[in-house]
Amino acid sequence: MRKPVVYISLLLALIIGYFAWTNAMAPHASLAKSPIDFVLSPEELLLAFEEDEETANKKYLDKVIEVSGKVVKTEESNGKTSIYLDANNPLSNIIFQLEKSEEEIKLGDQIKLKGICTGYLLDVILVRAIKI
Amino acid sequence: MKFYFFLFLMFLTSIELDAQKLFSKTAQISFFSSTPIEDIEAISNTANTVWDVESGKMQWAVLIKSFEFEKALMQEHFNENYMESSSFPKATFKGALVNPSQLNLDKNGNYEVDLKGKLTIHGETQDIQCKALFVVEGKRVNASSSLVVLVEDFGIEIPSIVRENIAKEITINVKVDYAILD
Repeated sequence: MRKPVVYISLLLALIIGYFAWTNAMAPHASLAKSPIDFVLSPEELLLAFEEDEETANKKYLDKVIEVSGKVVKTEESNGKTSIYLDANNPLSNIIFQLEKSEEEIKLGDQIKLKGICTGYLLDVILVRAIKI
Repeated sequence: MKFYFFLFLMFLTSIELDAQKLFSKTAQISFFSSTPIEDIEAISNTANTVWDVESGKMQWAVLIKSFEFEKALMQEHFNENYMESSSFPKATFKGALVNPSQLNLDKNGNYEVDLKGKLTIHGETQDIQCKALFVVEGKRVNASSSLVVLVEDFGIEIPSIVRENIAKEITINVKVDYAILD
């Protein structure tokens, strides 16, 4: 009578342990299937941070943001590609660091990207970005 | 007349030299902590840095949320439990090369220099000093440095339950390619 209970609780503990372990060890899920939280123009996104960084941080950090714009610069560094979108400002851009470098994006392209917003230095910086 | 023109030219070139600021928006900052139980490593490739060659002054800034960990849950804990990155979204360094004249950008070579300044992480500022290696090669300057910091110096609390997993000392590595503009 007692044996099945022991077996079942052992089995349950194993299953729970397995899921806890895989959850702890899981890599990042690709953004490809993540829903988009905000759709903004480069100007709107930059302005939000320029005018009130604290409020913009609360609203946009960790969120998936879709931005369409013109590529004004591409840069390769440490195996990562960064795409700079024009935000109608001589000093600041929207920078998307791509998840995978192989995507073909050229200077002057009009493109649509989504990425996770990490905040504002001189530019608004989004990471793990993908072209959509 | 010729002499004044010469002086004027000298003046112009000196302005140019004075104004030589090198920068990068894709500098790499990584950190590493090791305990027998777990190694923790994270990398950001979107740090900003600007360096005024003449004065040796140098500044760095990085967004805490731009650090990427291999494991998603570890990154979440790092941001929410330890760095509180919603309240302290940036880490910064403001300092200078102790002896900027040691470096000659016109001459290829490896230069080891001392760097001194204020490091702000998690809203806490500490004076730091470290060695940095500058490798000058043509129109590029690759700079790198490594620094060991104590977690507790920056007011970061580690709950006792995971104290064995997270080292008290963290090694921070930085590297950047500055391009010399003509």
